[in-house]
Amino acid sequence: MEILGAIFALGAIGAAFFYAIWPIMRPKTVGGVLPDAENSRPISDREVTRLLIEREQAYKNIMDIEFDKEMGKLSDEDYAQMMTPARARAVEVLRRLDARGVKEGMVPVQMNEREAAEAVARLETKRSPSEKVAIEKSPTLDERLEAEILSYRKNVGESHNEPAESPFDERAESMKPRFCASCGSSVDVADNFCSACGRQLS
Amino acid sequence: MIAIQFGHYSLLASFVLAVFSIGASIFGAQKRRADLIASGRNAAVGVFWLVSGASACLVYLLMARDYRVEYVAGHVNNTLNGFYRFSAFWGGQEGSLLLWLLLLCVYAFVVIRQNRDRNLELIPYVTATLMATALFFLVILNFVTPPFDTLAAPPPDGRGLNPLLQDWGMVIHPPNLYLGYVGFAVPFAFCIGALASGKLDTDWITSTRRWTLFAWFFNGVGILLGGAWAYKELGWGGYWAWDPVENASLMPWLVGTAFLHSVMIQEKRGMLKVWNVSLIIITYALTIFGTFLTRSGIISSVHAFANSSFGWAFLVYLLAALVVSFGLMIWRLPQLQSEHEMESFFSREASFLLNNVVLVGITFAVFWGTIFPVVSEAVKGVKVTVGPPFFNQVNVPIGLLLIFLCGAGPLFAWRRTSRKQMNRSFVYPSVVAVGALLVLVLFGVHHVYAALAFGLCAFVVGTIVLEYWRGISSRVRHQGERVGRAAWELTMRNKRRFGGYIVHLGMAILFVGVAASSAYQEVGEVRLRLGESFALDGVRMRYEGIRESTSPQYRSAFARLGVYRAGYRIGEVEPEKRLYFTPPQPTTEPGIRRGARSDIYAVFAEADPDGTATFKFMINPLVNWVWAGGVVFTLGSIVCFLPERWGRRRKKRA
Repeated sequence: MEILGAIFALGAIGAAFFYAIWPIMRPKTVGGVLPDAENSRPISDREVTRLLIEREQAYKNIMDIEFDKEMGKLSDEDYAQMMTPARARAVEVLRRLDARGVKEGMVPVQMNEREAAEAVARLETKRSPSEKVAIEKSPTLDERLEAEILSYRKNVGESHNEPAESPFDERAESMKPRFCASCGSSVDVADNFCSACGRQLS
Repeated sequence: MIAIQFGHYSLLASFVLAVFSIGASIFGAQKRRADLIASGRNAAVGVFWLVSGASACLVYLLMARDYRVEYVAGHVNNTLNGFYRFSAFWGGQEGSLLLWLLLLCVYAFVVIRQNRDRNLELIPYVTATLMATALFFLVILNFVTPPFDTLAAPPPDGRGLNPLLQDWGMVIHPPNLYLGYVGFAVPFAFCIGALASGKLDTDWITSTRRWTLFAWFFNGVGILLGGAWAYKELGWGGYWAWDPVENASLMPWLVGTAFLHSVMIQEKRGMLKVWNVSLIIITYALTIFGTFLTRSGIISSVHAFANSSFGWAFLVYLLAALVVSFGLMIWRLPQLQSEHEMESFFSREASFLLNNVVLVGITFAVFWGTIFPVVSEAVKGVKVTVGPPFFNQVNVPIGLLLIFLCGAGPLFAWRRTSRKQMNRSFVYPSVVAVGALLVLVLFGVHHVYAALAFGLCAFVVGTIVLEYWRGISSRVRHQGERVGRAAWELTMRNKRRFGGYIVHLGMAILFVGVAASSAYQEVGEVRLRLGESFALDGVRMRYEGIRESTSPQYRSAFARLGVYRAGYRIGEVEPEKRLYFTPPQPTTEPGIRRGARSDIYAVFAEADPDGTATFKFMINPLVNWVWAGGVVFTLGSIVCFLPERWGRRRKKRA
């Protein structure tokens, strides 16, 4: 009985040890280096990531100011004083993102796929066709910001359990930033080959 | 025997795996080797499985009453029922340390599963930090107090569980508190991950927001359950005595509360980065310190501490953790600069900062009072114990300031609030507070601190009602919702904010209970013959009879007391005196008649052969408000914890 116990214990412990060292022992397919190390990405990508995060923060900031105003904590004067720089900052971020060719609805690349899909959906799914048109036609960044925040506020967090007919998946897919699996450069959604290393994109 | 061996060797193997996991994770992260990082992660998962196996073995041995194991023989006996045999898992030293380790490993496992494709930069260090904590407990469990040690000659019956621990409150209180205690290790590990990897944005905070809330909530509920147990079981009529063990559980909660507030400033404004890092390091250190206080024997005897290698192990680990954590923080100081300056003293940020200072101040006072006996002995050779008067004298005024901030904080806007707007916001809650204070003074509440506490609690309630009213009326105006719907939507769309308000409301209710029951408790001790009665604060208690009963574990005597108010019998209480057989120990079970206004609390102290009996009676006003506040606190915490999208009305699609 004691021997049986010892064998059982040894078996379980052996399995745990094997599980622990398996990643080192197994035949390597893609090499052992972290595939998505922050520092291995091109600088332009990191800049875009930073701007996308900053955009999210800028929207939240504007919503906070509006909420405080609605709750009677800010006078009209305070509201104007705080809103002007907050909007200016958001517009500046949008302008810089535009300059880098980032489409609206894109999300920070450091998010994983699920988070990215959710964030895109927050910005996109519930936007009615008329709003969508309004955004596309609006001539100034300022007006676009207005419309974006409107839709952001309406949709923030309401993307879960969407009905099946939702265009969520398709659009999220097309909005997701793409990166070359070989060299890590950012590539356009429509590209078939990487412009940096020439590898075919899946 | 299989269970004993398996438990023993699993813990030993876990020790080796934990060392491997720490090494592989850190080395892998430094060299950017994905295979090593994965290996470290898998090793941590292996530790989780093995520790779970060892814990299951100990539970099995307790349930099977396998007296070959020293721990089993020491904590259960033949008469103990299954429920308490199970709870004996954490009824003793080794078992409760194993529970600590088990929860830590469960958390590590969940964190690893949650972050398979997230926070890739941080996770190796997070794994290493969690495993370093696990390693410390594994060292103790393997080499200092092993739970699977066997006896050469197993006794026919065990010593049994301490009778005081044979209560449902004691069954759920320790795991509850541990859920909280251990939970703080996760945000701490992410903080260390952020410091070590240099990825010092708000990711580590947002990734652990729920973990912090989870730990903080269970720590809070654990404290309340401990208080409820003390009140119901210990028979001294109170729920809080500034006992070192109680203080040990309160301190991490206080600093955790400060952390929960100040991270919001970092998230919104990019400020207070160093402060947040310091707070979570201190919170973690306090959980280790708390475990040390309760486990090292320093409380029962200061000498035991000085001679115990066990106590020193905790202190050495604590020191090492502090040096490494603060060392990392100092190394990263240049990257922890604030992105913004504080714009105005009259802002949400400033009020949060002040609440932080107050909370840390209370923590420091509690810490000082708790360790003072040790310090005084070390310095002067005389053990000077600091009692409740010290804690009350220091903490009551600071506590009052804290209640005020509970009400004032929500009235400020982020960044700044103009004087005019502030006056508008403050006027209604202030009117409520002053009105309440005047009414109370008119009705004879002359205890200064109690009256102030009631007034300030009214201020908090006024603030929360005002905030809800503003929010609801805005929704009714703009969305055309009914009031009930608007209140629900408002809460569900701003869970963090309004959940927080509900927690504040719970704290206000709790403080009313604390202030009333400590300032206006009435106590009387009396010796009564059968048929005699005793009056206290308008309540008369008549000694009506005695009955005895025997159970397999104890023999008990119940005294029946009729309770009369204004000449009418309103009920009866039956305080009980028990004598446990193994271990032979008497306990008293108070008879409590609970009420919204006050509790009637009777303790059966002694029965004499001449037919007289000695009782201790207490009238505890509003003590149930403490528990009611706890329920509201729980509700608010649940609201904060709910997923962001839960509970909102979905718009109809065109």
